[in-house]
Amino acid sequence: MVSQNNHLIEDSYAIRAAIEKCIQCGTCSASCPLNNYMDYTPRQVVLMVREGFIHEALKTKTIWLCSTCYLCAVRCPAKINIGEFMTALKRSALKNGYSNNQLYPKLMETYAEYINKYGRISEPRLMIKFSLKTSPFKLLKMIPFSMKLLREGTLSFSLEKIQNIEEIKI
Amino acid sequence: MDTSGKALSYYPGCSCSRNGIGRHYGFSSLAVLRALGITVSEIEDWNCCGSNLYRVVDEKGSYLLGARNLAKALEMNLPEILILCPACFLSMNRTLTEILANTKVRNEITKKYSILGSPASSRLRIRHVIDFLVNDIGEEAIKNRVKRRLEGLKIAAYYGCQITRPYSYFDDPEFPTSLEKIISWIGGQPVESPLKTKCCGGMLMLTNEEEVLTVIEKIFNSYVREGAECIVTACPLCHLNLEMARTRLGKRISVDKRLPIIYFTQLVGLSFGIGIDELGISKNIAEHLIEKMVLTATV
Amino acid sequence: MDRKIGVYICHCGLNIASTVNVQKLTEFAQGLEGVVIARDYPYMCSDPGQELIKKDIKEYGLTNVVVASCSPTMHGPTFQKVCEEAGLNPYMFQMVNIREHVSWVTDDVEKATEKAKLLVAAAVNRVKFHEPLEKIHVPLTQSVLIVGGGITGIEAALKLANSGKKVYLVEREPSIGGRMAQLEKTFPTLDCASCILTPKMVDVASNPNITILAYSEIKEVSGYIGNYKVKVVKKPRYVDENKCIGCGLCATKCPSKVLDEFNMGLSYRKAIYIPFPQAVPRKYTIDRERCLYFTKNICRVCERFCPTKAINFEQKPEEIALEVGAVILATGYDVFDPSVIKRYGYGRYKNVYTGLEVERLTSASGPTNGRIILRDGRTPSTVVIIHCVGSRDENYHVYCSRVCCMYAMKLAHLIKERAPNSTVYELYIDIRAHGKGYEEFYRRVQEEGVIFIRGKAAEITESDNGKLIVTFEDTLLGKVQQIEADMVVLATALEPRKDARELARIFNIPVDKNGFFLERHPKLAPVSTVNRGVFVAGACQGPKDIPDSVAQGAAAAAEALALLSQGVVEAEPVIAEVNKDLCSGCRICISVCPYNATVFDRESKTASVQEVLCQGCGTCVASCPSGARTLRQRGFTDKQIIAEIEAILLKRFVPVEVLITET
Repeated sequence: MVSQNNHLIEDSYAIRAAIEKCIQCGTCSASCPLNNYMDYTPRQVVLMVREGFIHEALKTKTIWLCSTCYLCAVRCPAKINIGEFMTALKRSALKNGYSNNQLYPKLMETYAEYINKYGRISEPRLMIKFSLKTSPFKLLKMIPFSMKLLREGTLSFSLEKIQNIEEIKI
Repeated sequence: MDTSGKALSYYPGCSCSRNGIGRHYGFSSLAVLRALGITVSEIEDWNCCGSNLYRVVDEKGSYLLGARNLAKALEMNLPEILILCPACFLSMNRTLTEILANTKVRNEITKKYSILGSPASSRLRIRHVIDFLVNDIGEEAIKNRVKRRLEGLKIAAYYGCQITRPYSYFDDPEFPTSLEKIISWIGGQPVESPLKTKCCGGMLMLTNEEEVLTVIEKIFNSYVREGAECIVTACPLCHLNLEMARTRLGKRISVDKRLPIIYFTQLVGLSFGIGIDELGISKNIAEHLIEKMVLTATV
Repeated sequence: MDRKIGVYICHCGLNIASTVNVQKLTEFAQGLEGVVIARDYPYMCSDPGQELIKKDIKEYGLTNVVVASCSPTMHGPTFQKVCEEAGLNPYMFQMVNIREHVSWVTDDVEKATEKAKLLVAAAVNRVKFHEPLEKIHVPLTQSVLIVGGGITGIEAALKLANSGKKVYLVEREPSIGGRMAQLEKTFPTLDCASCILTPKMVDVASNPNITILAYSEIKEVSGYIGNYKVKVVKKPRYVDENKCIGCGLCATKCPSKVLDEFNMGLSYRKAIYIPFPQAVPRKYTIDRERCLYFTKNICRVCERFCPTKAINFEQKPEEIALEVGAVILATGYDVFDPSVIKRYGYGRYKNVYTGLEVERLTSASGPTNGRIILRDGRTPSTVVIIHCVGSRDENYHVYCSRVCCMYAMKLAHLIKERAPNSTVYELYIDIRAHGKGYEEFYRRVQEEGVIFIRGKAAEITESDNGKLIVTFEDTLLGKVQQIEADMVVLATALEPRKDARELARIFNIPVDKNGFFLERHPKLAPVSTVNRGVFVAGACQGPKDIPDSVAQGAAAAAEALALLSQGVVEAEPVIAEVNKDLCSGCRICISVCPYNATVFDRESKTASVQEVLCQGCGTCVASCPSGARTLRQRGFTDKQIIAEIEAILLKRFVPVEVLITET
C-alpha cells in the first residue's frame, strides 16, 4: 500500500529497517514496560508505517510513551532497533506538528531551549520551567520532595554556561 | 591488570556534575577511583550530551553535542572517557558509533571537529564506571582496598535500562552481573530481581507520572520479595525516580522507610572507609548501614 | 596451426539479451582474427542450439569453439559434450560467462556490451593456444563409507547393501538409531517411531554387506574419488563386543549412577550401559568418566558378574583402516541450547523444558514411562509451547528449522492425550505445515482443543506460587497477554553438529553460512558436494524432517551407486605436468602440494605428478623457481592466460605470441 503521507515520515535507517525486516512477532510489544498504557502496540505502529498509515502512526500515544529503554531492541529477532524507530517517529511527529497537545514534546522543547542557551541543563530548572509551561499546580506537589533533596544537599539551581555556545551549533 | 596510575578523561555530564541532581554519584565515584590510585581528568568546558531528548528536536545537532566532548577528550590525549550517567554513556557511545560507521554523520561532524576524522579517533573508548571497576580494576584490587565488609547485608542492584542497552559490550543486556560481582567483593550478599534492568520510566516521570509509578511499584515489590536491605543504583535518573516514587507511592508499596537507596559507588566508598561527607551519604543512612558492617582484619 | 574458431552468443532468453546487445557482440566476434563463424541464439543450451554448433564444427571444420553464455559450472560440460559428439576434442572449447559476470550485475547496456566484447575476445585469443587433452581414468573401490547411523545413514546403508555394495557404517554413539530413536511418535501419521525404526536397525545389523562401526569416529581421510583411504578410531567400550551377549547383568549390578543423556538428563543410567533397550549393536559400554574402577580404582563388580567374561578394562582405542570408493555424510544435527536466551529461564525454572525433553517424557520407554509428569511430580494443567526458539532469530539462527511447528503440534497432541484435562497453547509466529498431510494434522490438533495464538513469547517469569508467567502479544488481537502455566515447552532449533566444520575439513567439503554441509547445487545436486566422491544426506545439510531425511538417504545411496557402477571414474586432465628435461629437482613443488600429488622421482632426480591425485590447484606451478616451461598447468598455461590478459587489458585482439609465430 503506497501512502499519500510518506513525506510526513523521515527516510532514515531506523524507519527503513523496521519496515523491511519486521516479522510481526510481537516480542517488542510484550517486552515494553509501558505497553498497557499504549493505544497501539509497538508492533502495530511498525505495521501502520509499513502499510502507509503514517498519519495514524504519528497520532498514536504509543510513540510518546516510549522511554527508549531498548529492551525491545535487544530482544527483537529481526534486530530492529525499535527504540530508534520510535525516536524517529517522535521526530517526524514533532516536525509536522502532530503533537501540540502532548506533554512530552513540551518537555523536549524546554530541554532544547536550555541546551541551545547554556550548552548544559539543570534538572531542577528544567522541571520548574516545564511545569510552568504545562501545569503550574504540579509544582506545589513537588515541594515536599524538593525539601527532602534540599536537606540531603542534592538540590541546586545554578547552571554553568559553556564558554562558546557557537561550538554546538551547526 | 596493573591499573595504578592509569589515566582517563572524565565526562561528568549535567546530572553527575557538582551542580547536578546526581552530584553524589559523581563525588563518590571520584573518591573511590582516587582510593584505587586512578587519576581522572575532567573534560574541560564539557557540554550536555543531549541524552535521548535533544535528538528528537534536532538529530544532527545531537551528534554535534557528543562530538564536541569527544574532540575535547582527544585534544587532552585521553581518549578513554569515563562516564557514570547511563544516558550520557548511551548517547556518547551512539555519537562515537555513528561517527565511525556512518559516512554521512562523519562528514558533517568532521567539518566542525576535524580531529574526529583523524586516525586518533579510532582510539576513543567510552567506558562506564561499572565496566572499568569490574574489568580493569578487578576483584583483587577492590578486595584489597576494603576496610569494612558489609557482611551478610542483602543488597539489590538496580541497573536501570541504558547501561547495558543497546550497547551491551561489557555485560548481558538483560541479566548483567557486574554490580553483583562488586557487591560480593565488598562483602555484601547480592539479591536478584528479574526486574533489575527494567526501565524506571526515565523522563516520562514528568509527563506520564501515573504510568511510571506503576512500573516502579513492580520494581519495588520484586526487591521487597527478595528481602533487599539496601538498593544500589547506577543512574542519577533511576535514583531520583525511585526516591520520588517511594514518596508518591506511599502505602501502595510495603518498602521500609529506612531502606537505603544509594549509588553503588557510595556503598563501595563506605566499605573503603571513605568519609560519609565525601561520599554524600546522609547520616541516617550511614548509621543504618554501618550497623551492618564489620571491620575486617585485613587492613 | 591454422585456427578456425566458432563463436556462439547465447541470449539466455532475456537474461543476457536484455542487457547485452547480442547483435553487436556477434558482429564484433565475427570480425576477430581466426573467427570463421559467429552466431547468436536464444538458448544455446537447447537441443537446436547444440545442433547448430555440431553442424558448424563439421561444416566449417572448426578447430575451436567459444560459447558466451552462463557460468561454466552450469553448462561447461554440456558444450564440451557437444564438441566431443561432433568429433572435436572437448578441451578445444572455452566458455565465457556473460550472464553472472555481465548482464546480471548491471543495467547499463553500453558498458555491458563492451565488457562482453572484451571477454569474448579474450576467449578467442585464449583458444588459439588450446591443445587437445585426454581424460584420465581411475578405477573405483566398490565400497561406501557412511558417517552417521541415524535414520538417514541407515536408509542409505540398506539401499547400498541391498544393491550388493559393501558398506561401512560409522556411528559415534554406542548404538545406531540417532535422533529418531529418541522420538515417541512421528508427525503427521503418529507412527510409533521405534516401531518403524527398530526393524530397520535390525536389518542393518543382519545384513552381511554392512559392517557397523559403532562408538567410532573418523580420524583421517586421504585419497581421492573412487579411492579414499579412511582411518576410523574405535573407542574402547571396555567390553569385548565378541563376547558380550547383552544380558545386562552388569548394569543391574553397577553401583554408579549417571544422568542419562539419551533421556536428555531426565533420568539416570548406570556407568555400564546401553543407551536404550533396542540398541544395535546390543553391546554394553563402560562410561570411563563415571566408572568407579577408572575414577577410584575400586569396584570391578561388572567384571565379577559378567557370565561371558566380556569386561576388559585394558581395552585401547583401535584404529581401523578402510578403503572406500565413495562417502556419504549423514551426521544429523544438534539441538539448540535455549539457556542462552536468558529471558526464557531454561535451566533456571525447573518446569521449562525443551521439545526433545518432552519427547522423552512422552516416550513409553522414557523416564516417566510416557506420563506427563513435571520435575516436581505434578501433572500440568496448563502448558505453553513456544515456537521458533533459536530459529528465525537473527540473534541466534536466522533460518527456519522446518520441523519445530510440526513437532510442537505433535507434542501438543501427545500432552492432550496423556493429560486430557490440560489446556495447551501454542505461541507461534507463522505455522509452517508444508509437507504431505501436515496441514491436515494442524487442523486435527486444532480440533483436539489446542489453542493457537499468533505471537512470540517475550519473557517467562516465575510467580510466587511457582507458576510460570508467559508474556506475549496476541498479534491478531493486538493485545499483550499473560498465561499462567505449569509447564513451558521450548520448540528449540536444529543446528549443525558442534564439530561439523572439523568433519567438513577432513572430507574437504565446504559448509554453508550457518555451518551445515554445503550441497553442490540446492536444487539440481542436493546430495552432492564439490568433492565428487562425497555425498551429504539428512539434517547435516540443513534442518529436515524424517521423510525428507529418508529421501535424501536413498538419494545419496543412488548417487554413490551411480558413481560406483561406472567401474572407472573419469578425472579432469586439467592438472600439472613436469618437463623432466628442465626440472632441477629442487623439490619446492613437493613441499607445497596440499594433496601429496607431487613426488620426487629418484631415478631421474626430478619431480613428477601423480595424475590421479592432482586436483589442478596450480600451487606447485606458481611455486616453481624455474618457471612455467618446467612445471605447467594443462588448460591454464602461461600462453593461454597471457593471451586473455592481452585482450582484456591491452585490447590486443591478436596475441603477441601469435604474431611472432606468424612472422
